[in-house]
Order: sequence, then C-alpha cells, then structure tokens
Amino acid sequence: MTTSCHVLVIDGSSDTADVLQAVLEPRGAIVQRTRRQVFAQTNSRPADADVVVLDMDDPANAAVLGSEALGHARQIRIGSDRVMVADSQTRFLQKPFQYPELVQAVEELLADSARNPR
Amino acid sequence: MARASLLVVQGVEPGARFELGDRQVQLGRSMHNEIRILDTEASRTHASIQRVRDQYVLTDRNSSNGTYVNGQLIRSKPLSNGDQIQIGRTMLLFSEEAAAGLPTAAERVRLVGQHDPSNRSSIISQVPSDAAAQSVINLPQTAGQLQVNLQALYRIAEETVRPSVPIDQLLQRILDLTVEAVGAERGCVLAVDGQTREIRPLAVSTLSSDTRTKMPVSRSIVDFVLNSCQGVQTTDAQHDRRFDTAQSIVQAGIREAMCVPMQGRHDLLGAIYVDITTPLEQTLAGGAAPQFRDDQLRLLLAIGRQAALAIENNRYQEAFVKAERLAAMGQTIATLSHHIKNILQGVRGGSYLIDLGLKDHSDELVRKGWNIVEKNQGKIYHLVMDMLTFSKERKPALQRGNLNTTVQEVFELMQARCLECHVDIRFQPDGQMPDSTFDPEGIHRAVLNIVTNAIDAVEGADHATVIIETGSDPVQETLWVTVSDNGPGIADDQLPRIFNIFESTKGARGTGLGLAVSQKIVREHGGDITVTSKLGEGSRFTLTFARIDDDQHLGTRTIG
Repeated sequence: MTTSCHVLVIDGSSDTADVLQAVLEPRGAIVQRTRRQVFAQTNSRPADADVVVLDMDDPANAAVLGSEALGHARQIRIGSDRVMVADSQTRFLQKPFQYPELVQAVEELLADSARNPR
Repeated sequence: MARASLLVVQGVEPGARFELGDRQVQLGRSMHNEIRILDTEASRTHASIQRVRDQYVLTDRNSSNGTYVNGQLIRSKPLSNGDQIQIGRTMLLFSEEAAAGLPTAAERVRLVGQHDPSNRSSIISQVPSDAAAQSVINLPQTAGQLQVNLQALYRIAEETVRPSVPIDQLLQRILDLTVEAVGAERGCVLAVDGQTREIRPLAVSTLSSDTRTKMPVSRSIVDFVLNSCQGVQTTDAQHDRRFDTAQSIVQAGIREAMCVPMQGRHDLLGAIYVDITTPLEQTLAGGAAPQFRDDQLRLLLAIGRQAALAIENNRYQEAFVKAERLAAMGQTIATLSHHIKNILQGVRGGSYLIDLGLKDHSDELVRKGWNIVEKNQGKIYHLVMDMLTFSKERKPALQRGNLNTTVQEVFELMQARCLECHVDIRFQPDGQMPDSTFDPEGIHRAVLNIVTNAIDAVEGADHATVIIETGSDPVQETLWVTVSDNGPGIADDQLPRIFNIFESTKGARGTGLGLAVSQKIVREHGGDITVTSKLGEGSRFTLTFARIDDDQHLGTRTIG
C-alpha cells in the first residue's frame, strides 16, 4: 500500500472509521471521517480522497452522490437496502456486513487507484 | 365489580388510559395526583373519583375552572358508562366493562315463536323504514310530542357520534334512551347475521332491576320486520293468535310491542324491539300514556336507522384502526430492527479488531476493539431505556432534589465523549437554583438525549460548542434547562416533526426515540420542550417544567 492512500468515511457510525483507522493506518493509509453537513459547509473535497466510504442510510447522502464533489473518487456505498452498481470503481456492502469484506474492498480500490491514478 | 377506566380522548396525551380500582384517585395537574392531567387549565388537584358501592363517583375538588360531565358542570356525580369528563381542555371518556357474573345480552333475551306470514292479526301499524325520519316531523302530533321526539333524536344522534365508545356500550346507551323516549318498559337490540340470518341480542334494557329473568321476544314479529324492512306496532299481544298461550311471551303479559329494522347504508343489520307489560288499567291509573303511539313508532324507526349507521361507522372505524395499528407496528419493528442492525454492525467491528489483535498479539488493537464493543453496549442500554421510558408502564419516581445536580451528572457523563470528538462542552448552572420535587432519573434521561443530539450535531465542525444552562423562574414557578449548539441547525420544515416518534435527522446514528422520550418525560413533569433553530448557526432546546415545592395551593390555582 502506498503511503499517500487516503480514505474518507462520510456519515454513518463512527465505528466504521474507527475500524478502518485501526487496520489501515498501520499499513500506511490515512483514514478520515467527515459529516456530510460539515463537508458541505467547509467545501472540503472528498474528490481528493482515493476511496470514499459513504453511508447510504442517510437519505441526504443521495445529494452527495449526485454532486460533483465526489469527483472520480472510488466509492464504497454501505446501506440497508441493496442497490445495483454497474461501475467497477464502486462497491456496495449491505448491512450488516462483515468487516473483512469492507477492508478487502477498500484495499482493492486503493490498489486500483494506485494502478490507474486519475 | 366491573373494571373501569378513563381514556384521554382530547388533550396532551390522547390515547392514554388510566385504570380505576377500589381506591380513591385524584385528578389534576400536580404530580402528586394518581391521574395527572397535563393541562394548564386544570387545577393542581382538580377532582377525585371514588368507588361508592357499585358506582364510581366523580367529585370536583374546588377547582378553578370546574369539572364537566357530558357538558354539564358538576359538583359530584355518579359516572355512567360512556360519560365524557371535561377538565380544562382535556376530555376523558369513562368506560366500564360489564361486571363478571352478570348475564350477557344474549343470556337475557329469549326468542319465542316461529314465523307465520299469514297471521299478523295484532299488527296495528306498519311503516316502511325509508319513510321514518321525515315523518317524525310531518306526522300530525302535538307540539309537546314533537319536541319530545326531536329531543330524543337529538340525544341519540349525539350518542352515535360519540368518539371512542365500544359498539356494545353505544347500543346500550341508545337503547336506554329509546326505552325512556317511547315510554317502554323493556327493550333489546338484535343483530342479524347477513349470511346465516341468525339473530343475536346485543343489548337489553329494562326498567326492572331484575337482570336474571329472560326477556321474551316474539320471533314472528322480528322475522316480519327483518323480511319486510318495516317497523311494526302490535297491541293486545295477549290475544295475538300467533302466540301459543303456553309460551312464556304470553305468560310474561306483553301488552304492546314495537319493532323496527336497523337498516344500514347497504345492509339490514338487525332490529330494535321494545314492549310494555303493565296492564292497561294499571297504566291509566298511574296517569301514564295508555299505549304506544304512531309517532313513537316513526321515532323508533328513525332511531333504528341511526343505530344501524352507528354500527356501520363503528365497523369502518375498527377496520381503519386495525390497519393503522398494523402499519404502526410494522414501522416500529422496521425502525428498531434498523437501529439494532447498526449496533450489531458496531459490535462486529469491535469483535473484528479484537480478533485481529489476538492473532497479532496486539494489545492496542484489542483495546480499540473492546472500546467499540463497549460503546455499542451503551447504545443498546440507551435504546432499551428509551423504549422503557416511552412505554406506558413507566411512572415518574418523584423525589426531592436539585436540578443542577442532575444536569451536572449529564455534563460529567458527556465530557469524555466530547473530548474524544473535539467538542467544547460547557455547563453554566444557576447559582440560585431552588430545590424541587421531580424524577431525577427521568430528567437526567431527558437532558442526556438533548445533549447527545447537540454533540452529534456539532461533531466534526470547527469550534464545535455545546452549552448547557439551568435556571428558574420564580414568577411562573418553573425550572428550565437549555442546551445550545452551533451545529448546522434544523430546517424550518423539519422543526414541527422532530418530536414525532421515529423521526430522525441523524440517519444511521439516530433512533428517532430520543426527542420523543425527552418530551414525554418533561410533559410528565407538567412542562414542555421548545426549540429555536437557524440553519448554519445552530439550535437551542429549552426544557421547562413546573417547580414543585408543596401543594399548598391545592385546587385553587391555574397557570396560563
């Protein structure tokens, strides 16, 4: 894993970010958590992240999905209701998921990001 | 003794039900009452209900604004099934189930005789059901009779639109009023099964106190009424050839009877039957009306129509309530499952880190994992406590204390979390806070939920700040707590809904229970929660409730 890998967790429980921090940061990644409202206020750029983990159970996040703010960041969408994703740079995990699945998905997308930088 | 209860049909807590027992209960605004009326127009101790022999008696306790039963101001009154008690702006419905051991309506009626269409010798008057209501007014009759009939119709119409009364109770009240209005001695309401044509008594009313003797009802007359859909009046039943002299209907000495169909919008639902057994000579000696009149038959037809519509409305209402109840149950299960699933997700995260830590011999990973497990254990605890608080079984555990102490505990409890998520939390207690009587555990939960929401709202923001303040208002005799945050604020269109149960703006992090629970607790203390909010600037929640020193102003004071 490269040392510049950046994972951004938007909304959802803080547990997701805590687990990813505990597992990925010793491997060189940077994991940050932000709130949709905060990110909307501060104009922070999730597009700067290599992978964005987005909790879909917050209906307001649909607006984030539609915005250009996410840019071309690879996405992992987490939600209670299954949704189909046709994009190879987007994964979906249905709650309750197993954390090894999440960690594996993040690592695969980070590796893809390293191979195919934007 | 019958089981009795008061149901709040109008007021702060519609749907709340209070069971009445053998002990006297007091009603009023003060927390010391067994039945708290959360109404600023109710006196602290407003009224009481005491069981006296077989009745519950409602007594006003010198309240400022009075106690009303069915719209009438009362000092003391025995309560009847279906009575509506008004205290301030709150309306309570008194309900009493039939005492165990008393015979049911079905046990008190005996249908005798078989239908013989060729023999209607004693039927002296027949009126089609659809000609009823108008002819009550148009029929030649004295002004007095017209007024009495219209008054009876008016009272029965009032009963049929009375909310929240079980149909058997409603029919009983209609029948009682009917027997009185037409001068009958007995009466019964009979329902007919649309498929089997089986007839089933639903209510019985009699002037006699004898509830054991069965009331004989002519099956012939009832069948005729149900088949022809006409109201009938019979006279001299003793000489009616349809009745075998050996039958008890004759032995019972029925002199006159009237029977009318209960015709609904689409179906025939049954019949109302009334009769007189007192010999004519005895009736005349007492100065009473000698017999049923034609206008009374038409009045009875109109009543039959009203009763049928009431039954139909009740069926529609029951179906609607059942559908609503199922929908609410579904929503409750879905929302709770969703929240429990999120907690399970957290527990899985913690367990995953512990597992990794054990494999890698990393105490740090184990510790991080355990912290997550513990945090989610706390979430389960709070979810269960919120559900228990919201359930009707919980009653405030009142004790003497100081609000500052309770709020200080919340402040200290949340400090660690605020430190972790970089939120500046401050507590500014009122140095002159007086002691009061309240439920410290309940108020703790109410304030904790609001503070937790405030922290959630500001978490991650620059200069995230939550300020808790306390104070008292000696004029209004209230205590208050405010919780202010500089979070994103709440949109105007969301504000009216934030106290609704299962409404949450927090996505996966909210249960939608917190604010509803806080509001319930504060209202149990005779207060309320208000909120002001501005998008982009923050929100301010104010919990205000009555300061209770003692009840020296019992029953004499109201607050606006």
